Amino acid sequence: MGVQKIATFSPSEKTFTGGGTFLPGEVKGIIRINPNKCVGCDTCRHHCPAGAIKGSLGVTHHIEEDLCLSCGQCLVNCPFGAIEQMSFLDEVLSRLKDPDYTVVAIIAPAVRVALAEEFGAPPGTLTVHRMHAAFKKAGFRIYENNLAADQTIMEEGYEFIAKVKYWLLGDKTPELEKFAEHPLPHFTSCCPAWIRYAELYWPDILPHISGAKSPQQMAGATVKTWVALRLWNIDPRKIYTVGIMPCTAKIYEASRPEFKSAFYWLKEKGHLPEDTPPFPDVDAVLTTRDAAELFRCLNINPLNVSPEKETDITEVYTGGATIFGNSGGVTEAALRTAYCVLSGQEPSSWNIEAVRGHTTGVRTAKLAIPLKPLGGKKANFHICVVNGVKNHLEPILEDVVIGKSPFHFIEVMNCPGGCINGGGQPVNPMGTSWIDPLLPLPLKA
Amino acid sequence: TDFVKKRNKYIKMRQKGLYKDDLRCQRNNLPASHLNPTVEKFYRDFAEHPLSETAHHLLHTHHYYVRGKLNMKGERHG
Repeated sequence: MGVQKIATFSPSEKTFTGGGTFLPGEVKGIIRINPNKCVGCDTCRHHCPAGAIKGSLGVTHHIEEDLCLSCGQCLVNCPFGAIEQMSFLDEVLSRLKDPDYTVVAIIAPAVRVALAEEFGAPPGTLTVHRMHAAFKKAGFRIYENNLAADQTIMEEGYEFIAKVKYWLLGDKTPELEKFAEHPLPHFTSCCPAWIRYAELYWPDILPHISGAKSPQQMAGATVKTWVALRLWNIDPRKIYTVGIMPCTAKIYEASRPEFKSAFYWLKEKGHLPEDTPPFPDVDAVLTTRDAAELFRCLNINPLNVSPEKETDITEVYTGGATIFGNSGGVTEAALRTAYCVLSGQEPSSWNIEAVRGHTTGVRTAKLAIPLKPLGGKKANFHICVVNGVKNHLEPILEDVVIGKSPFHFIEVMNCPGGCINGGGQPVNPMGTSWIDPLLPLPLKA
Repeated sequence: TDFVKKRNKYIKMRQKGLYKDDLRCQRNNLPASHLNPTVEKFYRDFAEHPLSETAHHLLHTHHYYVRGKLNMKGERHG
């Protein structure tokens, strides 16, 4: 047992130059194929949702950066460990050593069921308090990405409810006017690979996508404003936020130039000196694998530290938030809150099995929710959960483009199973041990 | 195939881990986002309510790009 070691490399100057389908400052080339290790087995090409991998069977493959979503599905499925990931670990390690900075870990849900694999435990081993203790021992303060997921549900949930009022209930009051440009079906916005996929290949869908930021970006903006000023009393310029993510596309997301909202807000409110250069909401992203490497560098084994209960209110989160990491989880979390808000009562059970993606490519469900403003009259909501962009998404998008989509709410997660199978997760030999029975070509000697 | 079966196996194991965490939260009376006391405090002390002006500035994005047209004029949707 034990997980496969994935090679990493540091960013270079070329990383931030923009060009092609990248804006200046956006991290490109996060995933690369090592030509010395690639045998041209073609596995990666079959997992790439964007057709970004070029090369024919038996010939060394390469990734077309401009088409790539940075999702890393090729990487976690490469049987030869030939695909490598850009890592910002060195930068984070040096910030941890700098006493001037408060380094904040924003820990995604899927990390807590995979981190342990890097230390010899089976997949799915849940670490919450041990994981928190390990990050604190390493010098981080914690803002749970799950807390930000709860914020996401509030913002995206209320946005969805507003769209329902405008489009289904015919409420055209002025404060709902802006939703005229954002028709149903409503698409989720948490998955950065899905966003880039839509931006690259399905621009017609963009007005349908929620304007709520992903939890990672909400966390970064919240930490550098509310948390810094009101909870921790520290200078936002001395905060270094680190997304701890199961995802390689999150590295790219954090670098998108528009995600400097804390800076602009602080500046407008007079909290920053005039000459402060713009800073991002999220300063760096480490994958689950990078985080494990960080712990190894610091001689910390998260399985051996003594667990610590939440000590800070920034560590508190709900069940709805933690299931964000599973396909269908965002939908279920949104429905739990939407049900309460729309009906004015709690559901008989919080578990909505019908929208859980598990290993099914597309799940659809019809849910009847009683509407308080209509005297408890029930409305049917048609829900769709897309579990993996590859092979499953296109027919659903085609229906939306021609105006024939039966759905009100569509969740899209790029990776099969959800974030728990993201491109930044430990590469388990269970996924790669198939080499012998399936390999189309003999191994290179 | 054998590969997909094995991949599905660890996908299910990790998913199970998160549903276990969900049940732990449900037992602690934290089943759904609007019941998170920190979220409540965030709105009470700071952001007022979902979709407020502060939320609009900090928690929403106004920039989706048509990537294929970046070279032409950086077309925006938001």
